[in-house]
Amino acid sequence: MQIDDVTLMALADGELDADEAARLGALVAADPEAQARLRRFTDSRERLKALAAQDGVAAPGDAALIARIRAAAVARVRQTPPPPATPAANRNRAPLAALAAALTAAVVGLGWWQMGADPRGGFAPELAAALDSLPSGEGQMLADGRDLTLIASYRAAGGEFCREFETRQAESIEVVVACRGDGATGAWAQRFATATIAADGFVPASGDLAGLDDFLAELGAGAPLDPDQEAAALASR
Amino acid sequence: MDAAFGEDLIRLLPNLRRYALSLTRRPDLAEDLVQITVERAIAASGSFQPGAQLAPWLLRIARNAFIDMTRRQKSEGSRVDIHEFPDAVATDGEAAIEARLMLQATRRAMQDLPEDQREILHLVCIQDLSYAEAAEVLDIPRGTVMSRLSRARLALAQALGLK
Repeated sequence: MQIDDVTLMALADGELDADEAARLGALVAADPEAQARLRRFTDSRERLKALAAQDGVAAPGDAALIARIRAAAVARVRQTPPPPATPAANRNRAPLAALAAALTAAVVGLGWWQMGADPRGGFAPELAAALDSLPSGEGQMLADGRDLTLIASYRAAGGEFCREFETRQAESIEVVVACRGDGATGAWAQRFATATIAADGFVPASGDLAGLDDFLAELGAGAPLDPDQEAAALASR
Repeated sequence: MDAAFGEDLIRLLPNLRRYALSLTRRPDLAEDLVQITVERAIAASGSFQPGAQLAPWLLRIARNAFIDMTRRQKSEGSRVDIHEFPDAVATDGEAAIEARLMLQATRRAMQDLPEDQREILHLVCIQDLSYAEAAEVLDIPRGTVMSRLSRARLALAQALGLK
């Protein structure tokens, strides 16, 4: 009996149920002509598969898109109760990298270091509360109209708990690292900040936020905390 | 739209871009299409049934957006085919050259196929969609997917001299 092309193809593509596949497999095994026809389907797929590895895997526009998608997710989180599971805290370094790449185009920014805590540099209670409670990847709209997103958490070499976050208002974005000491007395202090202007277009990143990496290195911060570590640090307050 | 949906969407960006390239065959238009699709996906995220496969849902949005794009374009303009540019001069071994030649031949054969065949090949063999998922993207019955795909595979096999 001749097996038709469509059925052979479905066999090659694993689209048949197990019984049917076994039955046809036995038929094909005994039929060299069917094997040759089957091979045209497996081979053609193989050849196309090789193309998949080549084409369009990553593109410069990705960074901006990823930032856009995460921003939309965060915006939604604010309108609905938070989901039970939060995204991995250490995955949230990515939005920053995304911003770094996307915003280089028109960085009219200046980075500055603020190693010594500014005596008046405390944060508004609303922002401090967000730093104390929100997991990385989430955000909220601040009363002054800025859009806050928590990016990552770190443990400094000296044991301080540090958080990296961004605030955005229209086109202007500020990326900040703030740290607090352990215990009830530890107030949040801004330790690093850099401001950028978001703009359309893409230019490959070239160290626009390099100051941040340097700062984190100086802090001895290492890798971002994972969600469990971050949750423990948030709960210790 | 929740964060998990967003992360799934991000994970599918390479697939989306590949599909956009295969539809538009121009990097600049593909980029536009990817952006439009992402915006539409974000806007329509509420209509996505949790538990369903995201890829076909997303690619279908892309396809409809592409149709809208081409409808709006009065004239198509000149198409610069992304695959016309020769690959970098080979400095590596014979096996690599061989592999590159095979890729080029596959691309050329794909381009010579009718649009509907190229599209179905892309969805199933490059994007790895199931027949049912491809049917969902194209909005055609599964049986039509199978007959069209089988014709396309045989045409491709013939063009490539596969025996």
